[in-house]
Amino acid sequence: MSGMAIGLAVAIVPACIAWKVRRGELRAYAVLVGVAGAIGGLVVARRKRWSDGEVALFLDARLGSDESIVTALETNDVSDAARGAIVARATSVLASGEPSRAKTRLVKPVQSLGPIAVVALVAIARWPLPVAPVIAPTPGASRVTIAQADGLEKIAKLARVDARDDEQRERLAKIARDASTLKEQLRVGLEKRDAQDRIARMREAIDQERLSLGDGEKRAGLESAVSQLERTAPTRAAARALGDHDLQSMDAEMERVANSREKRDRALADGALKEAADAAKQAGASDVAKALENERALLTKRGERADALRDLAKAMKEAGALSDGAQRSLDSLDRDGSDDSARALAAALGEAWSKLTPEEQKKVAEKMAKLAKGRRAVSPSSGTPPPPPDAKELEEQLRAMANDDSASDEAERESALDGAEQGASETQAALDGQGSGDGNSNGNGNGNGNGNASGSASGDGAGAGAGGSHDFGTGAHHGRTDHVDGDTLKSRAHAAMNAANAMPGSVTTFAPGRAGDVSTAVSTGDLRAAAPSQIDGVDKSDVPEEYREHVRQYFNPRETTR
Amino acid sequence: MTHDDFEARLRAAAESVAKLRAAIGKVVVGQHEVVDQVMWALVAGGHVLLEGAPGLGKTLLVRTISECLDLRFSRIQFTPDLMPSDVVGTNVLVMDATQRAAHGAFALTKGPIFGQIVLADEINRATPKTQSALLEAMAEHAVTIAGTRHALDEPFFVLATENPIEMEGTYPLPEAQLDRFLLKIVVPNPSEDELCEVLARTTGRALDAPPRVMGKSDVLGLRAMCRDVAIAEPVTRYSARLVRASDPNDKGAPDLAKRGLRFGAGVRGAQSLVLAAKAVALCEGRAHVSFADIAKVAKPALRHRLIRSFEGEADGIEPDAIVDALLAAVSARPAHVDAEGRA
Repeated sequence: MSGMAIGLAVAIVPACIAWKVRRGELRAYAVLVGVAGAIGGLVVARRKRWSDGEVALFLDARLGSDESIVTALETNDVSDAARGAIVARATSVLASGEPSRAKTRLVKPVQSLGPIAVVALVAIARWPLPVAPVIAPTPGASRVTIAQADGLEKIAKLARVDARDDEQRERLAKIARDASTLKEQLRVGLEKRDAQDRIARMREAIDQERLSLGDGEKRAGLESAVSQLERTAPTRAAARALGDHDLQSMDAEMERVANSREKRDRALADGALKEAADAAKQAGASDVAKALENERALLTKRGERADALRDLAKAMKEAGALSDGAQRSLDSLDRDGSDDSARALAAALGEAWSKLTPEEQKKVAEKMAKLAKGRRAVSPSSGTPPPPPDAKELEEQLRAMANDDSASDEAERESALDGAEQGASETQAALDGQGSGDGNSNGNGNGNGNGNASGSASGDGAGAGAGGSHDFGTGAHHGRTDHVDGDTLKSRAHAAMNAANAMPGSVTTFAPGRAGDVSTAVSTGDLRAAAPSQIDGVDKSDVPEEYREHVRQYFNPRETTR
Repeated sequence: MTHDDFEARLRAAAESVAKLRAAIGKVVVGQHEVVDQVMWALVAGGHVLLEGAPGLGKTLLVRTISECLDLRFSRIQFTPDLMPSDVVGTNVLVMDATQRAAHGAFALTKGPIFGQIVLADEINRATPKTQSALLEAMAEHAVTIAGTRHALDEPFFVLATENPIEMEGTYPLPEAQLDRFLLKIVVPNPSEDELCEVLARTTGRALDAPPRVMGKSDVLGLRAMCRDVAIAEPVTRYSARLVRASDPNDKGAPDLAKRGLRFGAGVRGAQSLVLAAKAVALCEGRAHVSFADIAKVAKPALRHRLIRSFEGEADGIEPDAIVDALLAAVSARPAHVDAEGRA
């Protein structure tokens, strides 16, 4: 009974737990625990069942028989006569004792737990389950679906970019593959945080790719090239852009130099590019050298185009056939030296050319050939002058110039990476828009940047979206720290810390200090010579008097050995 | 012998003890508990150490017992100059009629130890060497004189007395020798009524000598019957648990024992406990020992076997208090039976 009562009482615990965790169907099974408890109680009761001796002791205690019953039961080492006497006495006690005094309690207090536990179990089984608490969803755990992720398509285009080398090709292909995979997964649905994480990793890879030119061991070559370019004024700005890995700016700068009217600047730039490429090659930065060679070839091509356009414009002007639009384009080219202006001038000249009569065209062509001849007379290295172009040929050339939008390979790669970066931002913004339900993803960056993101977002998430904020501007990001006037580095100690192996890296003499420099020379000075007051300073220090001589010897051994 | 005969013998034993107690009571006023305890030791076959202040009737009690028993009585007054040979006796040169040595013949002159009831008065005043001569005889019921072993007559019953005051110039008995006494009986001061009765008896006419109520065979019979008294296993186990609990290092030892004792009772203590309890049962006409018998003899059987620690002596923790603590801490019956039995 006690075991069953305890078992049923124990069953209340799992029943309560089942109720608490709203597993109502398990409450009924809690009764099984009660049955198990009852069985366990029976086993325990069986094992704790009183022995005959214990019953005898109980009877002796109840009947006040001075342990005669237990002695009669448990004593062997006595004579038969004594045993007989003891048994007779025990029998007499049992016969004369009141049966009521020998009764045990049938119900124990613990057994009252049984019915209480049954009532409690029934009550718990019928009690309504508690209301499920509202648990806020884990941030980013919601699934998002984007039917058409155009931004990721832009990233996937990186696979078609003309890579610098095989390694870069592989890296770009991986980014493109990741983008394609993500696009497919977003089409069917993906956890938002997963998508955000993968986009972040893609952006990181794209950023890494921007900095890949002249990185790592090729850094020295890049620095050498920058140093060479910095030496000439026309390429100084391009040098800064190269140092900042802003290859589009560098290309734009070289474009300006190439289209400028000043031939001397072009020549200087050409020489600087050549020297920079050589320096980079020597330093092992073949990729930098290749980029600079490419830029140099473009410089020549752009320069020749600009010269040709200017000659034609001048010839047409002298022929009175230069239109106002062509004049404005010529002015614009002289002012900003951009390829856009050159192309606009070519288009304007082509249009004006087409309006000329064949005689006028022939006249202008001859004039143009004369100008070219005169220009080559100034620079004999240009070779023999070409014959005057015929009208048809010149018209074709103008059309080609108007449509020529060639840029350096690195600039084109940079542009492709920009596009990929923008695509990542658009996708990110689309995801944010899905999270908020009405997210606005137009962002503004600092400088000249402006953010833009679009996506076909559909979702019903809660929360506030934060628009994309990446800076895609093309403003100048290069910076320059102020010059640090470092003090001179002076040696004040030469003590051999280890006589067998002199301490490396201590500075010796008076050398002009520069910010970031480290000392590498071995010291040769003398403590006493460097700071005599400090040698004697031990007498004024906190060193106990009895140790001062040891300290003095330690720092000036030659003095004391004399 | 049938169990009826055994019952008859039990009754006879109880009656003879009662007669002895009554005879002693004619001389000794009060001290019923002391007399009972001496009876238990006599029946159990052990020796007794009586401790009490001078003038409480210790010597009178012993002398009265000897007078009531038809046994040879001798008394040894222990003094510092008492020699072992004064106790056990010695071989003396035999002289002829002319008072000359008879060709080297020696004859044994028995000492007082050869009595059957020996009163060793103020035993702690003799030197340890002399004490050990007595204690050897107590343990072995025999003495060795000049290489010859002499058995002592049975029943051999030693009653030693010692005075707890006037300890100066005494030789306290070592623990190993104390252990040889079955019981240590503390003789209390008489109550007012008892004192009045003592005054009446001792300041008037001289009293008649007490009757002899028991002889040698009676005492030996009682001792034999005492060994026949049965003891149940739970009672034996209770005795063992009591003795184990007196060990201060035992888990079941009460706090008072742990604090006040250095050593507890040993095997002899447990033997004394059971034997004395059997004697109690026999004196009460029972053929079996009860838990109450064990509790009754616990103090006299254990008090001289508990070696107090320094802390116990400093705090004045008496052995009797520790025995009380043992009786309170050790349950006679298993806990669950005890709980049901009390209900």
